[in-house]
Amino acid sequence: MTAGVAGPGVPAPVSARNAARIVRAAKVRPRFSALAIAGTVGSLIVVLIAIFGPLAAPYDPNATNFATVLAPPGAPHHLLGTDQLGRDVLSRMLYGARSTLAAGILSTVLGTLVGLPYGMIAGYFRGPADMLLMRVADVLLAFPFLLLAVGLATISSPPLWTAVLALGVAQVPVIARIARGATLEVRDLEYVQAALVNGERDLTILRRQILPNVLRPVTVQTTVAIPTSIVGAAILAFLGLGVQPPTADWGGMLAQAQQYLNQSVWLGVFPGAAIFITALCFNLFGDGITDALNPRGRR
Amino acid sequence: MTWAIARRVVIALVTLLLATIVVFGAVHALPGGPATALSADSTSPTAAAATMHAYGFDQPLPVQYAKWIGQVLSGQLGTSPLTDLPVSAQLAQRLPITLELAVLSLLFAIVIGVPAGVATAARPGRLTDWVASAVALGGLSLPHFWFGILAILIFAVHLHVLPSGGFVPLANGLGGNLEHMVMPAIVLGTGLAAVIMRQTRAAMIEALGADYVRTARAKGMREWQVIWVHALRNSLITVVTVVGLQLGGLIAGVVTVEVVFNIPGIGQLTLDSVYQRDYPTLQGAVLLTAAAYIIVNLLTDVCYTLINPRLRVTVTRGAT
Repeated sequence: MTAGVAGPGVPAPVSARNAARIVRAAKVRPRFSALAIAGTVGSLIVVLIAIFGPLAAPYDPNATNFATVLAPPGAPHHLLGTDQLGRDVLSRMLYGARSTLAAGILSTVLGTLVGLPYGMIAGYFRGPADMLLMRVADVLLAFPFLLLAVGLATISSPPLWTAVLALGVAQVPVIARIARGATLEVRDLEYVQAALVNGERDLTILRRQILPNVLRPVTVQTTVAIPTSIVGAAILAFLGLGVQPPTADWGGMLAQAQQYLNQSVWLGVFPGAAIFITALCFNLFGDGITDALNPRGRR
Repeated sequence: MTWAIARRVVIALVTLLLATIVVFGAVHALPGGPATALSADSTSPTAAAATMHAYGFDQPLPVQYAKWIGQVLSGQLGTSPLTDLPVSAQLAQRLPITLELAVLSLLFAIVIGVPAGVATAARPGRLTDWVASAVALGGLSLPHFWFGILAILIFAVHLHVLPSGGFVPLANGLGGNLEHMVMPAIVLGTGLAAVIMRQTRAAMIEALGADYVRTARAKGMREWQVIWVHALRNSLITVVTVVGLQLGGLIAGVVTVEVVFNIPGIGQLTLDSVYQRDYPTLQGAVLLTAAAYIIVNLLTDVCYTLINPRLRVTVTRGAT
């Protein structure tokens, strides 16, 4: 952020040109904050749709009606048209929000719940425990979530949990690394040593002295990870590894739409646009959180 | 510095060894693992037992693992029970395709991402910065499989300028090969370009505020030299790390893009072997992917050490 302000070399009285630069640099943040607010509101709306949307759905998302197959958007009684089985696209979109969002958010929660203590323990105790824990994390990191999902798809059920588990496990090493780094930064500081001398138990120190310092970077990572996980959940469903048809899911809807794109383009447009807009809102929200909590990483 | 790199190599080897155990364990722990999958196809119990014996599935797991590792070390990954082709031959046939896709998309991402990041960082707050940042955020949120479908709809179905999918080997002509690869590479590279642009921009803004940049400007150095030589060189460290870390995501993207564009690469092979329960192939493909990822990570670490002289010192001191 200082870049725009740092004039060339010699400290000079603020010239008109420099003043203009300073003002411009200062304007960057409010503009991005406005976007962050928009993203937060958008994310909230999507979450509300996921929770209450099914109540507003005009039809049963799985009710087929072969009399109105592949109706275009705006058709009577079907605002977004119907799919190849005559199912109401709007209803399926509203129900689909639930599974896509649930997989994205739950997996991030899972990854944080496991990764946070994992990294803190590694960083706090160091030595062989750290070495072992972090090597295991490295191995996990070497498996893209898709491969994890591929493995899990064959053993776990129901499929929603496969997606949650695969996407969650994939996040564990990332969050663990961040938590470990933040723990290492503070564990040798005086106040932690003082607590140790005071005879505090390790668990208490981890909770009361270390955790508050670790939460900030982990929160940043968590908010940044949510949109990635949402898209990841959609990818899994698209590939047939996550939520299975006929359950409505944006990724799954897109996979089925692929065969009918020549006749009905919109079938491929709505679910994709929904994933895109959701990810965009959560990304804006995550940027806002990053800006607010991480002054150094300001964009 | 040699010591630091050697240490990295050893750690990578240990990780790789652990990875082989995980891959082997995971594939064999699956209910309906290789044994069940094979015997399900057999008509009689004796025939099933014979198949199991032929593939060595009746031996204890540690023995099977030792045998498998022995084979892996000699470049043999077993034979697919479905096609009766050696797994290594299948992988060797498909790897170049996936590599080409990955390299092309990485190239696209760097060519777009780095200059865009530098240009926006040089003038933060301007309209160009704002627009580019917004576009980058859009690129970051764009699911590639959807982007791929849209690209096919527009460029193949409506405009008829590019083929909708498939693959032409390089041997059959560069033109046809690139014609088929350009759309998948751009689709796969867009998200990465957005990440690289954002990271370059953040790193450049920080670098441009540093004292040495002020010194360089005070010495009367041209602005383009300050930006493209001094600041960029230091910013590249961050960019290299991010690119390295992003390659894992690129691998996931490769699978979806290969499916959307019907490209016969490693990603398709992995998915097909899941659907068909072809476990030796799955094992080989997953191991190859994991190994690729570990090697890329290792190279990232080594690049680090080479780009930033300061890191050489700290790393040699044995810091993690």
